[in-house]
Amino acid sequence: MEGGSVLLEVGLVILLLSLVARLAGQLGISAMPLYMLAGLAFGEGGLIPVATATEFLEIGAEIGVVLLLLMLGVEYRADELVAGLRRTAPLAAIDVTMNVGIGIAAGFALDLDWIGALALGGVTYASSSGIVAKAIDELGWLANRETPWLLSLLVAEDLVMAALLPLLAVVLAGSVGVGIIGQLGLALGATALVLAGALRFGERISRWLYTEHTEAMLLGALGLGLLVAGAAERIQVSAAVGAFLVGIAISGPAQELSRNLLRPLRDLFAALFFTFFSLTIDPRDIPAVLGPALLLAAVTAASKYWPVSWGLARVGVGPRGRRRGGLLMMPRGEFSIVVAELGVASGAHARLGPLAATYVLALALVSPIAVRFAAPRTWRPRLIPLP
Amino acid sequence: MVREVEETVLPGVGLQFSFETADGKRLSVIARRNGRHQVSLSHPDDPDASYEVLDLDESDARQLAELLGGSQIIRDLERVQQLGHEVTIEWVEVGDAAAGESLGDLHVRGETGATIVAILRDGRPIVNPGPDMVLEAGDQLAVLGTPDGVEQATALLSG
Repeated sequence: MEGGSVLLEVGLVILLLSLVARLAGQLGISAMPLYMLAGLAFGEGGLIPVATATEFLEIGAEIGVVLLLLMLGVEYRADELVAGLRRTAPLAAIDVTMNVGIGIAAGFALDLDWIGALALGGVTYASSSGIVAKAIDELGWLANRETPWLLSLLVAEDLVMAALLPLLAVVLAGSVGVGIIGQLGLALGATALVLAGALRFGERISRWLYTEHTEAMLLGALGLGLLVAGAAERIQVSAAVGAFLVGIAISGPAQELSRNLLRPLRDLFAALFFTFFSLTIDPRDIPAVLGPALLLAAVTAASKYWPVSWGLARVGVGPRGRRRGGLLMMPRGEFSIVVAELGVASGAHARLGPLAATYVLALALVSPIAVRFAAPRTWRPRLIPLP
Repeated sequence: MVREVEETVLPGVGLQFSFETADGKRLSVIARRNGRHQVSLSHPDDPDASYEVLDLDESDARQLAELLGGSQIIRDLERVQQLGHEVTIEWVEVGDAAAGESLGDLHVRGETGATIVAILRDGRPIVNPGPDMVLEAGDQLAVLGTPDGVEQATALLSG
């Protein structure tokens, strides 16, 4: 290996991602699907060969998952989580059943093994908080009547996902048989224990962690997140959940500060994660899964649209608001890739990776367009005539 | 007329306060976590939709609040000032003697016939304060009454 080649490649990848992020900013969409497209263009079978940097990208991607979940816990205050669950509870249940169910059924129909089918159930479940929240903000719909409810459903889905992840991790990693029940019990017990600890000692941990020295605060929050994530993975509870629970435990001033400090880190490592996931996919595998992926995207777009629109009707939102909400919630994103990655890493059928990537890309790219057609953003009453 | 304000948590964004305006629109103020305030109105065609009217940073928002709150009272008071020679209104700053006393204990109305109609405290208005209101040094009081009564009240309050 020649000197500097890792730096050259990593630098090139990050620089290209910055162009991609800039393009996304100009289009007013989330950068996530574009990172994935960029990842497809890198590496084997792609346009730009990335060889020596893969090791760094792999570790970066792993940290990216931890940061995504850590930030999820840090981002929301406890009362927001409670409000989210309470506001959407009956519907969140229908949402899980339909969208996870369809994913699993599709997995079996597509002849993935049972690991692949389970993982696909996770892929088709949660709407992308990143994409949806970004779209609401970009379109100026924050004050719309449907918005609090939509944001709450996103929170509820993320919470359900965090609860499903350890189960999925055990099932995906474990052997079939009696041993799995013990593993499941251990995973659930450990999660419950850490959650109880996070809620019970959260304040004390936060006080201990908090310092106004920003470097110390950053390193403290990051270190604790990585440490607990690693420990959770060691006992096969899924690193992501460990990180999420640490995020939940951090509260008060420590939460405010670490939210601002961790966000740029999250942006960097999450970008690496999405890029790396599609980097590991050979674009030549995509044509074979294109048909099923698009069909699955169409079906699960409907299975998200319908419950959301029904839930909005229950809280008194009119037909146009229901249409906006249903279309907004269609894209899947971060968590779908997290689960797909988990499945691929546990040796699911080789088609899972390309299938999940194509599926997420299709929904993530099509739904912003659909939303803009449903209610063009340019139309708004003008208060003062422009000169 | 005080309207009923609905407060809603917007997870990940901040808090939303909304109320129905006199002309039947829904006006909402979103206080974002980063300190920005966004003022929106509901759409005339689709009451669930909204469009943004103002996007204010922290100091803009405070300035606007002061304009809408504080000076509204001053303008109302100026209107009262034009009532005639029998009634006058003066701003009086609370002195050390009156600070810490409640309006009821000071017996301003009983002693002088003048009434304290509003208090400006740290730039924030308190309209029509009750007898339990305890004065603080530096409060600006709007005192309404006959010229004699206001003069006596001024002596009582600013001493």
